Amino acid sequence: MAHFAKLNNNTVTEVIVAEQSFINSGAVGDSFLWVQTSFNNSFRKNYAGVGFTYDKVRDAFIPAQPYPSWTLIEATCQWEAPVSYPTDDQSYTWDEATIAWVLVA
Amino acid sequence: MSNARNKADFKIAKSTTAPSSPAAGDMWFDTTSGVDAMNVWNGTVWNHMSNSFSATGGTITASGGYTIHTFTSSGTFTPDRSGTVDYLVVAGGGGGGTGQGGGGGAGGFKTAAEFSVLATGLTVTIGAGGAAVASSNTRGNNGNNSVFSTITSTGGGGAGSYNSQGGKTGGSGGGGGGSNGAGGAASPEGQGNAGGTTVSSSAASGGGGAGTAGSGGASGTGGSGGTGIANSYSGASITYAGGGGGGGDPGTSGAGGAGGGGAGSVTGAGTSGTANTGGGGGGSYSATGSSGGSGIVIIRYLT
Repeated sequence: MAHFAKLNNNTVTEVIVAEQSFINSGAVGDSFLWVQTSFNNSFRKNYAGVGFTYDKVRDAFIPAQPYPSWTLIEATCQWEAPVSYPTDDQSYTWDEATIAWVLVA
Repeated sequence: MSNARNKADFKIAKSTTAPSSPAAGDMWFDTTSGVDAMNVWNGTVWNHMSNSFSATGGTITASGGYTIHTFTSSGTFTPDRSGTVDYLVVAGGGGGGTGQGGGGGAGGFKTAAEFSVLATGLTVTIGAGGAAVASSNTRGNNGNNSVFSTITSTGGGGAGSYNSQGGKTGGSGGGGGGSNGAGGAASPEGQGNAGGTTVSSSAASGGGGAGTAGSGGASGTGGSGGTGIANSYSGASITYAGGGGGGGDPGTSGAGGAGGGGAGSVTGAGTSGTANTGGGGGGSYSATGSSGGSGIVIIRYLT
C-alpha cells in the first residue's frame, strides 16, 4: 500500500493511499503533481504532511520551519533549535525573542 | 407494415454455450451453473438481460446477502447500472503531538443506506493518516479526507503539543497539549467529537473519536482517546475512528480509543493509529508523537 502526496508549488496539499496505476490514470488530476511518500520514513526523509515542502534537490519532504532561528538538519530534514532542550525532566517552551528554552510554570 | 414476427421465427435456446448463427432478437438462456440468465442477440453480440445490480472496484466479497466492495487504497467504483448502495466512508486520523503531546483526532465517520448511484465510474479516495512532526513545539498534522462520489469525510485533527497548544479542528478534534491546551473542535458537525482539554502541565489530552469525545489530561495522567463506532458493512462488526491517547508524566499515558486509536507514551514515541480505521495517532510526553491511521471506504448492495 503506497502513499502519495499532492503538490502545489512544491507544498503538500493532500496525502492519499493509492497505487501508482491509480495515480497514472488521472482520476485525481495530473500524475506529475503527485510524489510518493513513505509512511515509515523509509525514503524522502519524512512522511509527508499537509503544509510540508517537497525539496527536489534534497529529494525530501520537510516540515514547516517552527522558528526563524532553528536550522535544518541535513541528515533528517528536521528542524533543530540553536540551544539543546534541557535534560532535567521539566517542561520547557521555546522563546524566540531570547533564543532560549523557558520553563513552563 | 408490421415489425411483428411469427412465433416460429423466435428461437429460445437453453444451454451452457451460446447458439451459433443467431438472428437479431433470438434469445438464449445460459444454464451455466451460477449464471442462469437470459441473453438476447442484438445482431452483433449477446446482451445480458438481468435486473440485478453489480459493480467493479475494490476488494469484492459477499456476506449476509450483500456484495461488499472494500477500498483500502484509492480506486474507482463502477456500477453496471443505476441503483442504490450503502456506504461507509472514514477519513485518515490526525497525527499525535510531540512533547506534552495530545492524541490525534479520529478521521471523520460517515455512513448511510440507499445512496443513489449511476452507471458511471465513481472515484474513491482513501485519505492518509496525518503525519506526526518530530520538531519540538509542533502540533500533529491533520489526517486527509476520504471521498466516495459526492461524499467527503474530513480528516482528523492534529494534536496539540506543549506551551498549551490546542488540538486542531477535524472530523474529530485533536487532543489539547499541556499545560492548558484546548481540545480541537469536530467540524463539520456530524462526523465525530471534540478532543479533550488539558488542565495540567504534566499531561496531555486524548483525541476525539467518532463515538465519544477525548478525555482531558490531568495530574500526570494522559487523557484517553474517544471511542469509535462499530459498523458491520464489511460482513463483521469492526470499530472505526477511535481517537489517539495523550502523553502523560510521570506515570500514565492515555489509552487509544477503540477503533484504531494509537496509545500515548511517556518517554518513547506514541503508537500510530491502525491502518484503515481512521484512528488518531498517540501523543508523546517527551518524544515524537505518531501518525494517524489511514481511512477506508466500504460499499455494499443486496446481491
